[in-house]
Amino acid sequence: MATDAAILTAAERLAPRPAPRWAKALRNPRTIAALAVILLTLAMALCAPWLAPHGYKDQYRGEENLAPGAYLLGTDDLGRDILSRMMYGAQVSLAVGLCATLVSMLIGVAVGLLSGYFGGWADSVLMRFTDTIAAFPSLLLAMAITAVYDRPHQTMAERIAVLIFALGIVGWTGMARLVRSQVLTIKGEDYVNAARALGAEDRHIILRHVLPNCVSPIIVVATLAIGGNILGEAGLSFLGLGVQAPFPSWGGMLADARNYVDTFWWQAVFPGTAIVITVLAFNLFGDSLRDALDPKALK
Amino acid sequence: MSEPNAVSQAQAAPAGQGGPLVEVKDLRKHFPIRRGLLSSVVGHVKAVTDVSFHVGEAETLGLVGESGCGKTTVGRSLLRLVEPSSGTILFRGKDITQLSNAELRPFRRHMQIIFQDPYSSLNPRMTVEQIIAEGPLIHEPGVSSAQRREHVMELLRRVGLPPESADRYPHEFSGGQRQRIGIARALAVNPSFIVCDEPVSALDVSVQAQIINLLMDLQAERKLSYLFIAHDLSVVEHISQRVAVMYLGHIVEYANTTDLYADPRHPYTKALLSAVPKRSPDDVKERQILGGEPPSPISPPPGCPFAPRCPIAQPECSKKLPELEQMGAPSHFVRCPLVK
Repeated sequence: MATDAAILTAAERLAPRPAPRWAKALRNPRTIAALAVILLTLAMALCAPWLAPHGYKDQYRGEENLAPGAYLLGTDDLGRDILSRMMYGAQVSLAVGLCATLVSMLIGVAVGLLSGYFGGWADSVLMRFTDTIAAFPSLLLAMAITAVYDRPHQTMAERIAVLIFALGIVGWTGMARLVRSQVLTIKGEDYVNAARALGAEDRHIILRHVLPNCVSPIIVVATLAIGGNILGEAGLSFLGLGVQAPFPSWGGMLADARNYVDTFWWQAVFPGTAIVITVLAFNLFGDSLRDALDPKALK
Repeated sequence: MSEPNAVSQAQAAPAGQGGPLVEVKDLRKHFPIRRGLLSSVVGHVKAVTDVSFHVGEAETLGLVGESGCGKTTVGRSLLRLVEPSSGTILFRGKDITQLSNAELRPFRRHMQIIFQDPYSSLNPRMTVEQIIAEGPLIHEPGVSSAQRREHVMELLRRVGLPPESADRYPHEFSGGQRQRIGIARALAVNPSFIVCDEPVSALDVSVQAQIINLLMDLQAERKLSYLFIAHDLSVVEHISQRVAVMYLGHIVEYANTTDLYADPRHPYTKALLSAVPKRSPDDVKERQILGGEPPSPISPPPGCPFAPRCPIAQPECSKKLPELEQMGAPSHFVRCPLVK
């Protein structure tokens, strides 16, 4: 035992501790830029009533289709300030993009976890249901749902809730399949066997061992889905199933501008750029978040 | 002596002290192979067939055999991590084969496992303290967090890890250190029996010795019983009192360590032992090289599973599976009538 102890102290010295993961992730300029864009967009959306130079439905007769200048980002075909409309539109785009993703994430993760972990007939039933939902063209299904809930005199909040619900319902199948495949891998790992040998209950194993090890792909897919849902909302708005005009959304503005792309380019370019930059920021931020959440990523 | 059962009964007596701690009778695990739309069973992987043995208090039983011979399946079946197809597992005389998960829980803390792969056996998202405290949290929910932390610190000290390991993640440790964490996790619930599933085969030789010594010290301190699964015969010789040799799901030889190494009977055991490197250049050894591969456990050969590769096989070997028979020392059992 004495010689043993001597060997141990030599062999078992620990490697020096790396810097905290969060600190390291936050030092990355990519993370800072992405976070800045997201916070800025959020701030603009939330503060639109105070920050916007004009109201979103204020029309200035005789000042239609003005190029950027007196109006910072120009005006649209009805003489409305594009900058102000984009700030209000950010509210819809962000609310729908974030909340619909949250809804589909919750459904997808729950279905994937149960299906992958328990297997057997639960797996068969849940995955066939997933296949069924996935078999519908997603925008068509979302349209059907929004159309069913399209009632006169809906308030803004009700309309947004319908959009979130519709996009959330059609968007979870990919997540469910992804989580299920992750669970199938993790289920066979020895740390899960160790937990079972210790007498852990299924709920404990799912929440403490399986779910935490699925987090990275969930976050990546969810951030990609935010972009997809912002675009989905744009598509629905374009088809007249989105928020009620004259309230703007980025997708709706893009749709309105489609006839003027070659003449009044700013009407399409600015909302389009806003979508691209926001989606990109969410993707980059998701990447950084994954790195920060993965203990192995930054050694 | 003709039934496999007879082995465990004959062996039970010398272990003494009111029967063995763990006893396995006719353990069988055949994994179904499912195919097609209706997942109909088209065959079985016969991983383990009618394996019987026992492990006494504070004793180590070595279980050796090449990859794929079913030794890991045996170890995992004992803990019901793999559900046995048939057979009985007794812990302190109590049959745990049919218990539900909830009924099994009180037994779980007495029977633990140490895994081969020190990388996949620790959850990468839990700190070492969380990993070690998991068992105590399940079995002693009422303990204060300070006491629990103290318990973890004590275990870390005992397995030779510095106390500051507690707040770190598994990836910050080397293979040997991770294996110590795995040992601490198993010890945390004060088990009396531990399945060591090739605990050192993934480690460097120098580290292997440290882990083996740690396991032996712990055994002496805590009166632990081990089922020590390995393919390295010298390690098994060092740590075990008795050894069972497995081939293609069957135990082919079962004896006290000294008897087995001094007087190996079964041709497979002889071949295995001849593959152990010599300890000194002066040792004269007859090297026996086996031809071919082990047959597939999906369609094992009729009769003795070793017959197709056996240097002394006779035509009748492929007709009927030989029984384990006592030969040589009183507790030496061999599944081969030709070497009697």
